[in-house]
Amino acid sequence: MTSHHPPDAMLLDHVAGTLPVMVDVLVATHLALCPRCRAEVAMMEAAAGKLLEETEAVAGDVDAELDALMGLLDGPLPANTVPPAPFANAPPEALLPKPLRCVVGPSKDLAWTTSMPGAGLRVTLAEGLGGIPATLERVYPGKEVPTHGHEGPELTLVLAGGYDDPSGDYIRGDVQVVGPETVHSLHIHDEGEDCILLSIRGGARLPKGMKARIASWIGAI
Amino acid sequence: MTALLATAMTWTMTAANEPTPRRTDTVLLAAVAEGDKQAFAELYQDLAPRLRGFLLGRTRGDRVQADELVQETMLVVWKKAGTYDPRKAAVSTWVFTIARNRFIDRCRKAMRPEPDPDDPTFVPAAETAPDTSLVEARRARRLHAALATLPDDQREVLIESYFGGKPQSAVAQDLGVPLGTVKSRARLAMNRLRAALEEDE
Repeated sequence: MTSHHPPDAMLLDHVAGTLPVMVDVLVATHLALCPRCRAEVAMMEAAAGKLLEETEAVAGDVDAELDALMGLLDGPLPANTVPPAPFANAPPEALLPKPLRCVVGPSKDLAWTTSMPGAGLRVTLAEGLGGIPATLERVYPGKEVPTHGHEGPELTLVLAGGYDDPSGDYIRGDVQVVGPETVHSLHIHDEGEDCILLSIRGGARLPKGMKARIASWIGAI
Repeated sequence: MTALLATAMTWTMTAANEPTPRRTDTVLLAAVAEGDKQAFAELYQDLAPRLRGFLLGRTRGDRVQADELVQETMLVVWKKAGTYDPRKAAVSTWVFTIARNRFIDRCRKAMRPEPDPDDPTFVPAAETAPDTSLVEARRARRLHAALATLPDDQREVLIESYFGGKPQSAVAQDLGVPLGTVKSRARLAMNRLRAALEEDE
């Protein structure tokens, strides 16, 4: 049984704010869809708050600091030095939760290109993991992503439709994390809806068998 | 008789010399939300030294940056005090998330996207027990008790993650243990905290 949720260590890194940007976006998108993990994150933040109370105090010059600060209270907040996400103002929609929409834009504007002729489409995103761009994958109902292994970890978040592999059944909001040791093929649910996945890979997919090798020649996996 | 009198006098003197009881952060923050600058100054004295400790860890000891971030964080506290909900989190937890987000924003090219409860895709939690400050206080006490009794190696992993600003892989390197060990310590720690919260629920 796999969990269908990000592992505790990943949620903890999300709370600490130390995840690579795109993985952080994947986790935030999962959180929008998963009350259970939001409760987990709230618990981790509560623990961080308590540990903050116990952390070592480093004294400063309180009077000088307060003098400076009091003068700023009636002014505006200091401008955040970073710009908002590229699509922070994309209008709400049913498919993409806000954290992902902020980064990739409205789903109607996504530029899908064929990745598996007759079986699937793909959008390559600007950010990724370790130099490999993350992708959105759109696979047609009833199709299969041929058997492959992984050179590094692979993170998948289901946004629409669903698939199953030997570890279980994945639908909207579910996360699958696989390590290099996992070899699997994905069977897309045959229920009329395209399966849309956010996929982040820390290494290449390694095709297994002839069908997968052919798929890899055309860049499908 | 004299002894009794002396005792009574000592007691009276102690009572007279005792400073006015310190207001808790929650009370102070409620006053700050009303625009009370004196309360803000008190809250600052209480929170700033620990925030500085936290941010010095995250900035790898950069005192200038840490001080700027303390100031930014406290300004956000002043501006947003009205949005703080004591039923949801302790003051220290709320302030931790503000400081962390200010730090992340500084490190990144773009602001960190967060789930938005008002977004149509947001899946709300099922209605559960009433969210009252009393329930939150009880949960907080149980969580604190569980934290206090965490084995040192599990506690260390949490502290390194939160305050060292290191991903689990770097924590593993620092502690000189395999990544799998760090991950399982994190998992064990979370199991204990979760179990404490689930008591009597």
